[in-house]
This record gives sequence, C-alpha cells and structure tokens, in this order.
Amino acid sequence: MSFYKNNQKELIDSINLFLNNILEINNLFESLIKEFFLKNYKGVEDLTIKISNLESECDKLRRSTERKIYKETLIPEQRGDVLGMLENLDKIPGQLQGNAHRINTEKPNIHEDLHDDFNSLVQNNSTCVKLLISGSKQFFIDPKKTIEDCLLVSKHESTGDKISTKLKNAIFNNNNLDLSQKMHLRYFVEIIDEVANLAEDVADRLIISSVKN
Amino acid sequence: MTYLILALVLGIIIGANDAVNVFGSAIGSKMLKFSLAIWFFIIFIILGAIINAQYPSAIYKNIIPSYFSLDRTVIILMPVIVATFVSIKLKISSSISQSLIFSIIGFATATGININYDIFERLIFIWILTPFISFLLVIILYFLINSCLNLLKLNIFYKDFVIRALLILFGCLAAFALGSNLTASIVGIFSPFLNSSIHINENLLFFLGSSCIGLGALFFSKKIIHNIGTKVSKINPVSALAILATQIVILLFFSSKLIIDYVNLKFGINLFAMPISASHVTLASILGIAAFKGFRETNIKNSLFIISSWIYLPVVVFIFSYYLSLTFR
Repeated sequence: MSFYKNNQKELIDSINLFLNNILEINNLFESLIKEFFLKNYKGVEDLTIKISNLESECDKLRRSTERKIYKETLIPEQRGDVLGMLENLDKIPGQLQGNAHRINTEKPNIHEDLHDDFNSLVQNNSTCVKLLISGSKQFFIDPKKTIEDCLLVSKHESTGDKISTKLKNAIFNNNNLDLSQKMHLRYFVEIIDEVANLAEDVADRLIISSVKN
Repeated sequence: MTYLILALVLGIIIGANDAVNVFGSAIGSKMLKFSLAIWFFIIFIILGAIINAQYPSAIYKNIIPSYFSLDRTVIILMPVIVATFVSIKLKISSSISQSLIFSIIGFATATGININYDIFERLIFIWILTPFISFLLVIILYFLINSCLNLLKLNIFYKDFVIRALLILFGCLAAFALGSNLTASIVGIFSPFLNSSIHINENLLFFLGSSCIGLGALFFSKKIIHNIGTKVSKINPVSALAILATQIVILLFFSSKLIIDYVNLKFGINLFAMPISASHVTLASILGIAAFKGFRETNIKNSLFIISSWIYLPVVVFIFSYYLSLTFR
C-alpha cells in the first residue's frame, strides 16, 4: 500500500512541477518583453533559451504523467479529463516558447507609443495563465474553486481582445509605419494574444470537467 | 458419492456466479484488477465460511424438520445446478440460496415431507424485503461516503488511493459476509447428516465448500465479472463502495448470531440467521445508485430482465425439483 501511495505522491509532484514550469515560462516571457523594450537583446536571447529548456521539460513531464496514469490505471473516472487538461495546458508553454523565439529572431520594430499597450496585453495574458494554473491546481482538490478561476480567465481573455483591437487600430492608424511594418506588428499582437485564447480554451474544458466531477 | 461431486460442482458454479457480487463493481469501475481482487475474495470467503457459516446453514435443517436420506440430496442439488448454470449462460447473477430452498420445497411437496411453513414464509418475506432495504440503504450510504470524501478535500490522486484501499477493505468484509451465506448454501443441505451419514468435522466441510467457491471464482468468474460489472448501470468508484457497504450491512446482519440476538432482544422479535441473496442485494443497490442519479446511464431493459429472473428462477427450480422427485420417488 505504501508503494501505491508513493505512486500517487510522485504523480502529484510531477503534475505540480509541470504546472509550476508553465508559470515560470509565463514569468520569463514577461521579463523577456521588458528586456526587449529595453533593447537588451542578449537578455532576450538568454531568456528564450531558458524558456525553451523549460518547455522541453514540460513536454517530458506531461508524457511521463500521462503514461503513468494509464499504466497504473489511476483515477479511472477523471483520467480523460486530466489527460485532456495536461495536453491542452502544454500548448501554452509551446505558444510562449514560439513567441519568445519569434521576438528574439525577428526583433519587431515596436514604436515607443505602443509599448504601454503591448505591455498591458502581455500583463493581461500573464494574468490569464496565472489564473488558469491556479484553477488547474484546484481541479485536483476543489472543483468549485477551479470554476471560479476559470471564469476569471474568460473575463481576462475578453479584456485581452479589447487591448489587442485597440493596439491593431493604433498600428494601422499610424501613418509613420509602412504596410509591411503594420502587418509585422499585427502578427505580433495576434501571437501574443493567442496565449490568452489558448488559456480560455483550457479554462472552458476545465469548467466542464469540474461540473462533471 | 454423486451428491459430493454435485456439491463440488455447485461450489464451483457459486464461485463463478457470486464473485461478481463482491468485486464486480470495483472491477467494473476499473478501480481494482481481477488478478488482485480474486485472491482477497478467496481468502475472505474461506474465513467467513469457517467463522460464521454455521448460523445461516441451520435454516436448511429447520425448514424440513423430518429429513430424508442422503442420496436424495442429488435430486435437490440437480435443479439448482442446472438453473444456476443456465442463468450464468444468460449472464444473470442468480440467488443460489433461494434456488436451494425452492428445490427443497419442491422435493418435500412431491415426496410428502413436512415443511416448516412458518420459517418458509418468514424467509420469503425477508427475501422480498431485502432488495427494497438495499435500494434505500445504498442511497444513504452513498450520500454518507461521498460527503465524508468531499469533506476531507483530498487531492484526487489521494482520493483515488483512499477509495481503492476502502474497496479492498469493504470487498474483504463483503467476501467474509458472503462466505458464510454461500458456504451455508452448499454445505447446509448436508448439515443434518453430519456425524450420522457423513463423518466429517463441520468446519472442515465449510472449508472444503468455501474452497470450491474460491476455485470457481478463480477459474470461471472473470468473464461474468466483466460482463455484469457494468451491464445494468455505469458504476463509479464511490458507488462501488456504497454497494459493497450495503452488502456488508445486509449480509452480516442476517448471518451474524451476535447481531441477530441483539436485535431480537432489543425489539422483542424472533429473527433468525438466514441466507440472503447477495445477487439481489447487489442489483437492488446498483439500481438504488442509478435512481439517486436519475436513472442516467441505466440499462432499464437489462434490469427488468434480471429482476424478472428473481421470480421465474425459483419457480422453475421448484417445478424441476418437484417433477424430478416424482420421477425418482
């Protein structure tokens, strides 16, 4: 029995590590944006490498956790929900890693007037991810709390949509930028905003799973 | 010698038929593996038989006060074996104790042996009552177990661990309770001949009977468990716990001398230890859980098919035994 209990503890630890890694990637991406606006490109590159390493670790953790849940036939009732949650959550570090690489490689020319809006978009998305991770942790203990957190994710995602629309308007109404620059910046607004969309997708699924359980 | 072989066959059939009642829900809900559950079943069925089977076993002695020759037990056992075998083929978990009593009554009616109708009537009354009690009790137990587990606010992985541990514990207790009931069914019919025609220690007889049940469960119950475990309604792990708890309460209540003596003393009634159908208790409990959940994911057609067998199986056994007794009178 104690062997069995150790198995459960190992699983809880690896899921917590997976979730904490996502939080860490999210924080690193926030720092990366700050460094990018400060034009500290070396810092941006270092952070991109850190994010990539953590993202790979997340992949490994997700795979080993999924394998273990199936192999040990654990939580047969919630197994599908947990696996769905882990797989969808894993898309977020993937997106953040992709964004970091794109910023590091393409170094978009973001005008200073737009810095505040870009920052608030990143902050807002970061809040979405933080709420989602909190909700995901609660899913294993208190599904009611999960629903509360996930509803807040949706609320922040809507705020993110408003910020990104405002940003796009500002970009396309700026006569100092040529069309290629405008398209490039719009692309960055969209990929940064995509994090909140992914968070919302996971939150929606989590709400359904929590209600079911 | 034929009666001993038939008793052995009956034991094996009972094992195949009744293991589902103990660990069927747990295996059906994918919480326990058959290979693990079956060993717990065997150990506790033997323990239950040795410690407790003498009490419900007495009913077979008392229902026909003036008994018959040992060779005649073949006529009683044969219809029970055939009926149980057919019900297994139909994937119905039937009540062996009821089949046995009805076979005895069929035999007694055909051969003109006196029947203790007072005991028989009380048996019928309790047999009708137990599914209803199980139906209600399982809802209360489900609510209690669920509330306790929710109150603990455990991580679902720890909750999973706790439920598995409880399923094994409850399963062992249910196997213990069932051990006395089932072994009483096989051995009870021979108890009037102990020390006269059969020179064997009663406990050894209980051990042999329960070992046959264990063998039947080990070799023939896997398919039935997987078929019946989820046939009536989808069972989740907490439901499986509540179903087992209901079985323990009902089966122990009617097989434990200690509890019966206490109830008789407390309420001034005249209850006696008797074999209860674990199959009926299990199905009624599954239906109780299904009712609690608004009959979602319940196979009503299958449930009605199994419930109808509660009526026609004893009748068929009675008729079969009656005509067999007339033929070989």
